[in-house]
Amino acid sequence: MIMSTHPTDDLLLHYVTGGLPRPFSVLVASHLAFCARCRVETERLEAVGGGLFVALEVRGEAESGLEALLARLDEPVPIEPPLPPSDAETSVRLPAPLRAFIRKPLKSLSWHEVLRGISIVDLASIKADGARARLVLTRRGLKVPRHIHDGTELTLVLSGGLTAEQGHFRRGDVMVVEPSVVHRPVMDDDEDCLCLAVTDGAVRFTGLIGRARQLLAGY
Amino acid sequence: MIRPVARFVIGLMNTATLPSYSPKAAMGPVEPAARRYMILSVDRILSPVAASLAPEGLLRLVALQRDRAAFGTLFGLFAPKVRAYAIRMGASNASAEELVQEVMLSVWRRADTYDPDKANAATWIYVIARNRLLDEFRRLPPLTVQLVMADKEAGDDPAHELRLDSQRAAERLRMALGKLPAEQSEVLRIAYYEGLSQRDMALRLGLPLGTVKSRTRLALDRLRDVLKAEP
Ligand SMILES: [Zn+2]
Repeated sequence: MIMSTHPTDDLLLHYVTGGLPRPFSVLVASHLAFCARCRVETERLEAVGGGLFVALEVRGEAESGLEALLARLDEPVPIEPPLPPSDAETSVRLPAPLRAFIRKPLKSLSWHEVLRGISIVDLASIKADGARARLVLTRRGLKVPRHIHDGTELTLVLSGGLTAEQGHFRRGDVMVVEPSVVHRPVMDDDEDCLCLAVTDGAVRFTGLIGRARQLLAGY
Repeated sequence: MIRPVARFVIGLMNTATLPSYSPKAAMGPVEPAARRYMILSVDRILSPVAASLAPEGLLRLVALQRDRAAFGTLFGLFAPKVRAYAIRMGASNASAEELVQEVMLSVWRRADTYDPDKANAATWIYVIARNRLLDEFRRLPPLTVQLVMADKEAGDDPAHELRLDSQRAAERLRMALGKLPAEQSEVLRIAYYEGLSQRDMALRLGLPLGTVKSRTRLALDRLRDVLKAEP
């Protein structure tokens, strides 16, 4: 497997064509806030979409909706609620697509510690399409017990960093873990590591200690 | 048919009274007699102005001058595409109709955010339609993908040669799409028109996943080269 800090090409395409489950879309959109390479690629894929959009065959019937729409052009524009400012209580600045769903200071979210040094919060506002998103805060330097993911898991690093079989990841990087890959990340020492983790399956710890903790934590 | 035509003329005349844009010049001086003429045969008057502009120019007119005639032309060009796209993505006729209204209203309201260096008009409208469609289907808060561009951290985008020269690139893209082998064109159309993942596409087509992946890859590589090539 080639090491990459970006979503795979398949994921980017699926993001652009609109079929990607919502939680994955939020993660990809958040990555784009950090990554010029993927922004350019996304623009190209959208340009392809524009070309196919124009190429769509249409029924010959005349358009009827214009008059109704012209009558609506002067309607007042609904004001979108402003995006909350980035979190003042922590040094972590969340990318806008993520902030739009969280809208609260990080500290006031309902965190629970699932393993010593690892706290998570479920982002119910993003959960959809059979996938879920969580914020995972892991103590700096921690070695996470060996575990397996049932589904595909994408992790976007928001602070600190981690090293896993897939490589070394820092703020803005995306780690893709395919189903059934045994996984044992080690956190960087410099900062606590905050990640957005999105998965369409469960996480299972494989080691004896991990399993026991999992039972205790209901993870 | 009388009323929309009359609205068009109003839009057009508003345009003609503003100093900054060229339609006035293109049409020549507007005499009172000529105004009556415009109302009688708006098609012939409209054509040299609105119809001669590329959609990018029409969007600019909408943005700068709130030009209803230009907007009407955009509607004629893109409303049928939005409807066809919504139906391919699984919307009912009624909700496709609703979506057309919502998307074209967004085009009117957000025309000033359109950046011709970033995308051609069709791509910009396609993205609006896609986002609207997804939010509609899922009854979820909007994804606010558009915020991404306003909040980037990574600094400037790579140099301009990576950028799409939107109009010329669109034309090259159109030709290249027409020349794709049928099996490559098929996977792209299913991906974009129906939003299927490659895995679902493989099931649908009864093909191995690897085949779907490689056809998609070949098609996109070819189109990417087209988009990258200097004019
Ligand atoms: Zn990237």
